[in-house]
Amino acid sequence: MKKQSVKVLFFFFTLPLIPAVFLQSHIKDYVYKGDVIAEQYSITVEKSRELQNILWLDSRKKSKYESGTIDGAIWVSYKDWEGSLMKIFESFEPGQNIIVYCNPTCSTSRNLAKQLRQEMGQENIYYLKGGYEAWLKLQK
Amino acid sequence: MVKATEIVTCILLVFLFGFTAWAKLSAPEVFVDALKAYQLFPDKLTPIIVYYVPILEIALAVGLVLPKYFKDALRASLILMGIFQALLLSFLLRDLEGDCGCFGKLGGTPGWSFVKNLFIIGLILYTLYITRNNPSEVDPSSEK
Repeated sequence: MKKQSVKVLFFFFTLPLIPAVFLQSHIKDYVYKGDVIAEQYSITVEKSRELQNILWLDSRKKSKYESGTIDGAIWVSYKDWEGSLMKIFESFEPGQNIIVYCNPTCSTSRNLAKQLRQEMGQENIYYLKGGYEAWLKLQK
Repeated sequence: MVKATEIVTCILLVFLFGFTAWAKLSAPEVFVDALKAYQLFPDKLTPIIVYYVPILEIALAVGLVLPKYFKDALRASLILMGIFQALLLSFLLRDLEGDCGCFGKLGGTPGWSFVKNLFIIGLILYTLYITRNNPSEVDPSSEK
């Protein structure tokens, strides 16, 4: 590769760093603190034990749901949102708490819980902090 | 044929990079969530990556449009796509869950993105191959 081309490639990959370093402050809060509003609807496994009458929703991959999940949990997915909503409404009892979970690092459960709160118009819909793994840990 | 391929590649990549850059910049929180799902990047670097990637995509889109930098932008695109593929492969092999982070709020599954990127890499390689004998615009000494 010609020297000039190497120089151009170098500039392509290094120049964007300058504006990125200046802009990073806009998103730092979200990176470190997360979605502060959504955090209000997070619930730990310990806290979930204090709740009565929970409808568990598993938002992990179907293969993971099939290989092990919380007893009575319904599998839900964005890919089949209409179908998932139907299953939820079929199983849901008025006054029931809903807890959505996935794995520790995915944001699907948080986003799904948020969407469900909007669709169902109720506040007692949470996402499980630490996901299924956190629940499993406490069973041992 | 060579010119037609260059034009098609240019339009496709400019559209792709422009669109994905816009998608990421319009919803940086979504991109943060996607980056966290990869479980590869420390929190200290994540805020920089969130803006670095879409700005790089914009820079490449601009470079592709300028005849003087077209081939170098193509090579840089190839490198970037290679990095994306390595990250996606890592994501798939570790059986992680989440969005690929490619299209911001519009979402995108890692598996589908990996396949799509293979086509793009193939197109870039083909374009570089058929234009290999064209003199480089940047280096005048390569002109015959």
